[in-house]
Amino acid sequence: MPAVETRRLSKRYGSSAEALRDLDLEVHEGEAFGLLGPNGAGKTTTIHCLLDFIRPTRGCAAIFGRPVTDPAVRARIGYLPESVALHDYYRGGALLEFYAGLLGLPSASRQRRVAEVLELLDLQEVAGERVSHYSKGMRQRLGFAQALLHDPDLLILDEPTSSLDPLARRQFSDILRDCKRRGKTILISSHILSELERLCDRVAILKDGALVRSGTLQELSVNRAVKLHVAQLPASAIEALVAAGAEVTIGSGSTAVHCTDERVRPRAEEVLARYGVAVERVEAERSSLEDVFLASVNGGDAA
Amino acid sequence: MSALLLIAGDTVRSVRRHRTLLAVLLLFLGTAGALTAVARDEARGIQHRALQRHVREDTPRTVLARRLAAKQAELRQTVEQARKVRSTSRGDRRKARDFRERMLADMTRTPGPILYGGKDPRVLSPDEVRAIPRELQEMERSVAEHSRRARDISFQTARREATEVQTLEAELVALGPEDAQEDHAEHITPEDPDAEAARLMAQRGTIYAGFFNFAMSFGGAILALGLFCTGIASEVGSGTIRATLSKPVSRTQFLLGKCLGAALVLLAYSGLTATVATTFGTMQHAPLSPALAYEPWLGFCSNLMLGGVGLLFSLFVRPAVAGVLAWFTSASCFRWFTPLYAILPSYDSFQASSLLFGQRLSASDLLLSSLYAADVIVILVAVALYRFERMELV
Repeated sequence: MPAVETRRLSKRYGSSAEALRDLDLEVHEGEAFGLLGPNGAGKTTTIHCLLDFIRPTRGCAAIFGRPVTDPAVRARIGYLPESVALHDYYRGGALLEFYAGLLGLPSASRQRRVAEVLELLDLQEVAGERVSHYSKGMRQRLGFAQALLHDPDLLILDEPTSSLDPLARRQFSDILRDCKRRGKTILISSHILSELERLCDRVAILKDGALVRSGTLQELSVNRAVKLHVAQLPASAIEALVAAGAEVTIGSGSTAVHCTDERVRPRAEEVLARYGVAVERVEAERSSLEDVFLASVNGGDAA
Repeated sequence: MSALLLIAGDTVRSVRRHRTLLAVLLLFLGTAGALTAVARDEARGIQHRALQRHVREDTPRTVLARRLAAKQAELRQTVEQARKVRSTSRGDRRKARDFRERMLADMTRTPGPILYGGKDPRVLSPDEVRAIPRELQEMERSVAEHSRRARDISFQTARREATEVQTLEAELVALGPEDAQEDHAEHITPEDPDAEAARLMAQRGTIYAGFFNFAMSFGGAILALGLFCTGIASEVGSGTIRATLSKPVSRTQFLLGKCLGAALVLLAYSGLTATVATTFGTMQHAPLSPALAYEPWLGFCSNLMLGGVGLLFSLFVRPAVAGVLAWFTSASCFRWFTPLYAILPSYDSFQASSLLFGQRLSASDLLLSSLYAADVIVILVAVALYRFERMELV
């Protein structure tokens, strides 16, 4: 049973264009799943649909096999919104206790658990201060603390580290990796691709509300860019290869032909065959997530 | 249920968020209180002057002094009367003795038959003649006895009255100095027969009722609109609702919790206002309207209905617009403008002013009004729930 599942999930706000179009997603239990896409791609809309903040125009979504409209399912979810808005008339610790009450944590373990998450996020010292006095980073950490309060099976994080300094960002990443290690499911949307690359097992790239690509990082990037190592190239062949879209690097002992696109490789191989140049070795060049992302959102295809 | 109560508690706690609203409310109440105090002091001054006459006539001291003066006058009269009785009895005895002596002398001087000069004159027998001196002595003794008794009675009365005068004088001294009587002038009961004082007292009661009316109708309405119009809309606007509803809390629980919390705040406000009005009114000995016994409850019901309308509107338009619209719907002068009023609640039977200054409500009227308010609130909350379940919380 997938932790998160959407079927033809679509959302249109008023008479504007569809913010989400027939999105099919499946996030398995225990995996970290990244949602990528430029601003307005539909990442936050997807998350809001999953949390029943907005109702889809068509399609459906389920979490742990139950419809998202069932409030009980949210007992297994920890959610950190993009811009954390918290009741600022509370003190930090009291706010967490309020949320712990809503989560139904037993009163005996409530204070202990609150103290644990406060310590985990280095908020013990400011737990007695009003939330209105918190800095943006502290609010973000408090928001993360409320998401972790009940040690949820599924963490849904919308741009969790966008307003954090590098130190706090590292702290968040460590906590998320620990969650993943303990078998928790993570659905994360972020612009910081290096973070997702380190954390996520699979990613989905959205553009204009539609799913452009999805899969494991290997599936998205492997065998797309290759480097063809050859012994020697005549000057005319180099010109022909460049005209075919390849990049040529001439080293001291060997020459490499970079095919950055899978459409370039057959053209480059044809040029090399025409000039009678033998390919000594083929080296697969894995493109970074950033390359994949940029290629996806710019041209609809990967490098 | 616990989530609902937690959200209700959160709503009560969020009253702090309405600092501006509370400040405005307190300003209004403070102004009303100050105006009331000024009016009260003025009324007290007028009353004080009016009551000066009562101080002279009606204080315990003046009453006692009046009684003492009356008793002293009585005593003087009694003493005078006793003197007269004494003098008269002396004269009577002297006259009786003279008469006896004269009769005996006449009898000695003129022997022979004696004629009794009554209605049937006749000659007395010798035995009757012999009995005359004894009868005269008896008569003289009888006159002396009557005189003595009359004198004794007069002097006994005088002594008793003198004792009473002494007692009254002692009581007067025990009452203390004159100044102490001023306080009594201020604590004169509303039942005082003086018409002017009674009228001023009634005015004082009106001032307190007016203060209560203002605090309940105006302050309560502002508080209700502030709580209900912003209760959900501001949470949606600021995004705080997302953290709350990401927990296992249904939208129904959220809305009902918000309503319950706001209702508790309104109930506390009604109770507080009624307590303040009653306490100050009692301290000033104002004749409090009997409507104060049930007006807080009806004011609470009215404000709850107004809040329900505001809540419903706030799910369609901005909170400020919702508040203004809800306020307009409560004003009877706008009732002719739109058919919308056919489905909006009527506040006519909940007006604090008509309750305080108008005729009293019977228990059945009270029950009917409460049932009407409950009915309206249930309908408003049900419609609000229907809308809220379909709202986009972003």
